[in-house]
Order: sequence, then structure tokens, then C-alpha cells
Amino acid sequence: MNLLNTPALLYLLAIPPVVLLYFLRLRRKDRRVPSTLLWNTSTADLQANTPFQRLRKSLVLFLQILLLALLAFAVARPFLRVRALSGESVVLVIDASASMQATDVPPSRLGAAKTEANRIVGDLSRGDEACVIEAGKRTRVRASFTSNRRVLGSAIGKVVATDTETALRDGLALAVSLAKKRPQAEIVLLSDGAFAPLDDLSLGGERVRFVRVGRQGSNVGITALDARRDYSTRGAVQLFLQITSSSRAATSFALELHHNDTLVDVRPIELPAGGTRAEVFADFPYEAGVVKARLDLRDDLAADNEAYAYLTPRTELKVLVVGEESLFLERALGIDPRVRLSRVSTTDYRPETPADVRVFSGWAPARLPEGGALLVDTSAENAPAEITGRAPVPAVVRWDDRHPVMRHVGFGQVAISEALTLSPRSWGQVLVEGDATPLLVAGKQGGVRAVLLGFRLERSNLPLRAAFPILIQNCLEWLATGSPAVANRSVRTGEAMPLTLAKPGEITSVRGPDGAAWRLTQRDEPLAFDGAEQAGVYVATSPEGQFAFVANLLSASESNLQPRSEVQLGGRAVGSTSALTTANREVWRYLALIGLLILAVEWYVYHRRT
Amino acid sequence: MEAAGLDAEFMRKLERLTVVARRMFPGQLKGEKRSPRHGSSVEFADFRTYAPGDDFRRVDWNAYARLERLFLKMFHEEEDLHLYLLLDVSESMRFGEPSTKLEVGRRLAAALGYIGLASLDRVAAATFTDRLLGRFRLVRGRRHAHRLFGFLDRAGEPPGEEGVGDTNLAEALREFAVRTRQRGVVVLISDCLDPNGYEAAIQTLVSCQFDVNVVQVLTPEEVAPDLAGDLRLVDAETGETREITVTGALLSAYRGRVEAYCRELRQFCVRRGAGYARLLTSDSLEEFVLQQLRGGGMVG
Repeated sequence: MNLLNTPALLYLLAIPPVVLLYFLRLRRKDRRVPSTLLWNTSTADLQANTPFQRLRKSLVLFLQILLLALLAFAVARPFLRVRALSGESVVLVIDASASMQATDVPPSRLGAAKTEANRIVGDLSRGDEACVIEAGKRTRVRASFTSNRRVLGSAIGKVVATDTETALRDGLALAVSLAKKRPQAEIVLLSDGAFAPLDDLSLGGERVRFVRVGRQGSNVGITALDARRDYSTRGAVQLFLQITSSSRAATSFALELHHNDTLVDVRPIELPAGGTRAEVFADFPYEAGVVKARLDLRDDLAADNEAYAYLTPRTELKVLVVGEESLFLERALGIDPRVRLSRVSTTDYRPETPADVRVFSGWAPARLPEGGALLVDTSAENAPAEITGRAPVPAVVRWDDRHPVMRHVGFGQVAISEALTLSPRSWGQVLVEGDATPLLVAGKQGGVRAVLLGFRLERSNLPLRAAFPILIQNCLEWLATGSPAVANRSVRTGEAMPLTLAKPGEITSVRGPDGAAWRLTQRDEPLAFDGAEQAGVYVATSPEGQFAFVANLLSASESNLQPRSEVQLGGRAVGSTSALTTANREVWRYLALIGLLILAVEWYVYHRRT
Repeated sequence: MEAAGLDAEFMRKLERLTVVARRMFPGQLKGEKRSPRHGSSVEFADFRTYAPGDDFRRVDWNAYARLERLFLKMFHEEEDLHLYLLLDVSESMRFGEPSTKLEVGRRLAAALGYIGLASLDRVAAATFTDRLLGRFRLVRGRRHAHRLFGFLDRAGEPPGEEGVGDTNLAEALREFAVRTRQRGVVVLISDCLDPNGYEAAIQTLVSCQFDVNVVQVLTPEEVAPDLAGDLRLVDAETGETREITVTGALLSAYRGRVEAYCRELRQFCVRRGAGYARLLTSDSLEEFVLQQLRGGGMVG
């Protein structure tokens, strides 16, 4: 037993004045009696002569001193060191990502985390509250703050592991915001630490405890799978695979390739401890269908031993160029072998002419039709920016290379003699910023995707730079998104899949790899399916037809089962600890209760006496 | 004739009573008897059972021969009976609500004195504290009743002068015994709360051949005090203090002590052939005289 507020023991100095007051109080009332003769003899045994004896006889004074000492002791805030959480409110964040399925600890890491969480809940002090957050790809609050252990226990039981990457940023951000509302809150993260450092997460000064589950795990997993048609080689399929080992020992196994559930290729693989290996299958001789890559071995994590790819059939991309002829533009568009280029004059342009991407150069209709549109030196009502004037010799200030359109594109040495001054609409995203005006704006609204280039290609040196064909290729990819030709058929588990297949009002049903089914109603806006939390092949069926896609984990951090002794959160390393540390449990409540009891006894004794 | 707080009805009842002596006193003259009764000079009045300490000479041996039990013969005093009323007027007698012990004692003395005067006995009175204060000389005949009552009304007055004093029974009664030649019936009216003890005083009177009767006057508060809290008791006479914290246990111990004190006093008196009666200031004086004193053989 220790004291938090030792100086409060000075209150004990209040005891001597009480004793003094007691003596003063004992100045008795005088009472004349005929004779003290009989009192003399009858009180001889009851009367004490010395003050000390009188004190000893006075139960009331003793109780008062005891009460005072007890109160002084309580104010000194004594505490017991007990094994418990130190917070009065506990936010339990349970990692529900793929790596938590690892079986290096029985029954699984998630099982161990749940056991630990249940123990924390069981050790909560009376009145302490906890909430349960499941942090998979999506963050779910399984139980909001409550002190009801049964509710907390059942909430912990509901946490299930998915094949997704951890999105701990969301989970922890939610936990921090929940903890902020509470004094003395503590966030307990139950995880294996298999996630990328979260340096940009602000913990806001909240206490975070990292409880690591899992030991040394042995795992080999597929961390990358890509199937592409290489149009430079007549559109043959190339498969790219990356296999990563987090085992401490070298492993050898077979890599199997299945096409539509038929084994088509096997490669023996040998991996050193902790090694990574890339496998390329060039000229994969199969057309459309699902390709499954499978590692034939038993390790601690099964979820990453299979990966899927969807081979899209050979398609062509219809590109319609409207307006004046632009040699640079047409040459750049022609690089892609899928592109079937056609050109019409502004007078012959009809909005209903089918095209995956329309290119408007120097002229555009008042309203862009649905689909992708590349606007060069022109704008429209529903374009991402409107024209406000012209700017001479704008200099490039900065560009955004995170946007898909700008991937691998640099605007570093691009010079422009004259540009339109653009005012981006609210949904327009500025990709290249000049000193006087935005130069490249992209955006999507309703069914329209558009990229607006604010200057004539002939009035700059952009077409002469290596970035130009890449930019045009990126524009084609991005603008054609959603058209069947380039439809994305692969998502990471837990991410949303665009599924605008049916007409408004119709039902799209989705069947997952484990037999789970979803029914989605198509509305006016685009539909996205975000239920793909298990890796595998999903088939969406609508009155308009079938659409298959695959979901993959493909995460190096999830596949790595090496134990992490610490995680990076908000720029600081949080070491793993046991959730239950020696906490200081204050006992003043009990002292106050005893004090009340003594007070009652003192009252009783005082009144019984008189 | 109404005085000393005695009403006429009570006084008429008193006239029918006489003071009873347990012994014959020497120097009694037959020829001077003026009693309405006839017979020998010593008239038998009653028997009472023997108690240890009683004078063997007064045992009725004839009765013993017949019944084999010891009885004392009691006689009416017929002539020249001297009745001495000794009234304690010390400070401790000035307690009691609504009547003080002193007031009750005065009325009792007046009643007894009137009995004596009415039956043509010689009656004297004296007041004392630690010594004899006032004396009322022997008188005989009802015509002196007013003077006796007057003396008794002034007894202990004024307080704070002569009346104030400690009780010293032994000293005061020794003085009385020395200064009184004629032996007779003595009625001692006091609370008997003398720190020096009552034993020597009563013994002195008994030894000097007086027929002693003790009437102990107490207040109800003394017998069963109604006190609470932490008190410092101040003795009204000695100024002695005693600090007490009143508890239920203390009060019951005190009550037990009072009863024991009175019991001891009664036993002391009985063993020496003296009468004893206890009068509470709350008791009815008429009842006390007509029933208790008559039952106790003090008057008849």
C-alpha cells in the first residue's frame, strides 16, 4: 500500500486539537446537590482520576480520532498495486485482418486476442467501462461503452477475421475519438502488429497499449499477382507472381496454376528463409477466365496461399476524336493496340455515336455525353473546369502524381506559351497547377469522366516530352474505366467493386467464394459492392448478364508472420506489453465507507450514553 | 387552630394520637398524671416482635412462655413524657421541589409537636446544623402550640446566616444530650447525609437513654436522580465537587447505593431500639403520620 498524496497526512495534525477540544468540552456543568456523599461511593469505580484514564474510557473520543485518522489517510489517496488496466474506460481495438487467422497460437491469433480481450473485460473494476472495436478492412463498433460484461463478452465473440488487410488507421482514429470523450481512457490494441507503420495517425495524447498476440509464425504467401495483356506482343497474357516467405527456414514447395479450376502448370519453388521470389508466366496461352495460383504447402496462414486473377477477353477501345486534327494526339492515342481511332468534324459530331473515349480538341459540345472525354483547349458545361480567360506564358508550379492520370508523368520541364485560365468546379481535381491558372483538371460526375488540358498541344513542348504518351495512355485507362473493355476484374479484399450492371430498379445478386450471397438493388447512382472480404471468385448476376471478378489479399505485411515487438503509431514506437500491468487501484472509497460506519457507531454510542 | 401548613382536618386527626414511648422514663410522677385514661401509671399499649438489639428488659417473658416467641411490650407514656423534636436545618435540607426537605421537616415537627401538646406531653424543639442553633424550651398544653409553630416556621431562617452550615449530627446531638437533663422521646428529622456518619450521633442519644426515632427526609431526586450529560456535582454543604458522566449504569449504581444507605440506616436504628421511617418530600404528610408512623409504633 502506497500513498499518492503523502502531504495529506499532515491532516493528522488535526487530531491533537480534537483531543484539546474534547478536554474543553469536558468542562462540566456545575450542579448543586444536597450531598455528594452517595455519589462519592457510587462513582468510585466509574470515575477516572487522571486525564489519560479518562481518554481511555471515552469510546466516543477514540472513535472520533479513528475517524479523523481514517479521513486523513483517505485524503492521502492510498492505493494497492493490483494487476489490472489502469484506465477507467477501455477501448478494445481487435485486429480482424487476414494475418489474425494464423494458427501459430491455438486456436488462432484472433482466438488468442479474443481470450485476452475477455480477460481484460473480466478484470475491469466495478464501474469501469469498455467498448469493442473490430478493425478489419472496415471498422465496426461491436459494443459501445458499457460496463455490462455480458454485452462486452458477446461483442468480443462476434469479431470475425477476414481475408483483408488491416485498416488500423480507421479503427485507431475511431478509438482515439471515443477515448477523447472520456477521462482516464486507455486504448488497448490487440493485434499481431502485422501492419504498416501508422505515422500520420494522431493519437491526441491518448494512452495506447499494444498487446501482441502470436508467436513466431512460419508462412509463405503470394504477395502479388497480376495478369495483363501485353498489347505490344499481340495481346498475349502475361502473369506476374510474387511469393514471399516469412519462415525462419528455407522452404520448398510447388506453385500450381489453375485455369477455370483445371491445373495447367506446376513449378517447383525453393525459397530461402525470409526470401522473396518473383515468377513470370509469359505467353500464358489461355483466354478469358479465372486463373488461380496456389502454393502447395501447409503453413500457419492459409489465406495467402491462393490468389486469383481474371483474364479479360481481347477487346478494342473505341476512341472518337472530334474537331481539328492533331498529329501529336493521334500518334499518342495510336500507340495502344486496343484503340480503334475514328475522327469526325465538329459539324458531323453526334452525341449518340458510340465510343469508349471521346477526344475534343479546340471544340466541345455544350454538354458532354456520358462516358470518358478528353478536352484539349476547350471546356463544356459539365466539364471539371470552366474557362475564365487566357493566361500568357504560365509556369508549371506543381503537379499531383498520386492521381492515376498522372502516374509516371512529370511536368518538370514543360513550357507553355499560352493557356486558358481555368476555374475548377467543385468536383474537379487540379492535377497540374500553373502560377496563374490550373493547367490540367480531371473529375467525374454522374456518368461523365473528363480530363481537361488547358492549352493547345502545339503551344507547348509537352508533346515532345517522354511524359506525353504516358499521360495519354493513363488518360485512356482512366477515362475508359467502367466500360467493359477495361473493366477492372480484380479487387483487394475489403475494397469496393463497381458493379453497375443492371438498369435502375433491377436486382444484382452476388455469390461469394464461400457460398455467401448478397442482393443489391441498382439505383440511379453507380453501384459498388464492398462485401468482398474473403479471397476468391465472386460472380455477380443481373438481368443484363453475368460478371465475375476476383478478390485477393496480396499483402506483404499480412503475410509476414514475424512477431513485431513494437508498432509505429502516430510517429512513436509502442512496445508490446501485457494488457494487465500493475495498476494503482485507489482504496479511498472503501475508507470513506468505513468512515461513515464509524460515524454511525460514534453517533449511536454518544446517544446511548446520555 | 391552623398553622405550620397543617389544616384543621389533619389537626383534628392528630389530636386523637399520642406519642408512643418504648420505655419508661425515670422521674415520672404518678400524681401529676392528667391523662383522661385510668389505670396504672404505665399503660400497656401494644406488642411488637423482637428485633436483634432490642432491650431484653422489655421482652414480655410471659408471652414467651406461652408462645415461645419474643415480643416487646410497648407502653403509653402517660405523664410527663418529654418529646424532643430535633430538626436538621443544614444546607442540604434546602433542596426539593416543590417543597424542600426543610419545609416538610417543619411540618412533620409541627404535627408531632401538636400530637404531644394535645396529649399534654412536654414538648421541646431544637434546630441544628453542625451544632445546636435554636431551642424551644419545654412547654406543655395545647395553648403553646402557636409558639411552637412560630418557632418551627422560623427554623432555619434566614438562610445564609445562622442556618447555613454543614451537617454534623454527632456534634450537634452530643451537645443536645449534654444540655438536656430530662430523658424522653427524641424525634430526629434529618436527611442523615452526613459525611462523618450518622452512627455516632444516634449511638450517643441511645446511650443517653433517649427513646430515639429517626425520620429520614429525602427528595425523590435524591432517590432516583434525573441527571444527564457530563456534570460536576457540587456538594451544597462542603463545596466538594465530583465529576461524573451520567450513564445508565452510573444511575442504576447510584440508586442501588441510596437504597443500601437507607437499609443500613434502618438496620442500625432497629438494632439499637430506635425507630426509623423514611419520608419523601413528595409523600403526603398526613398519610405518613397516620399510617407509617402509627404502623411503625412511633405514634398511637
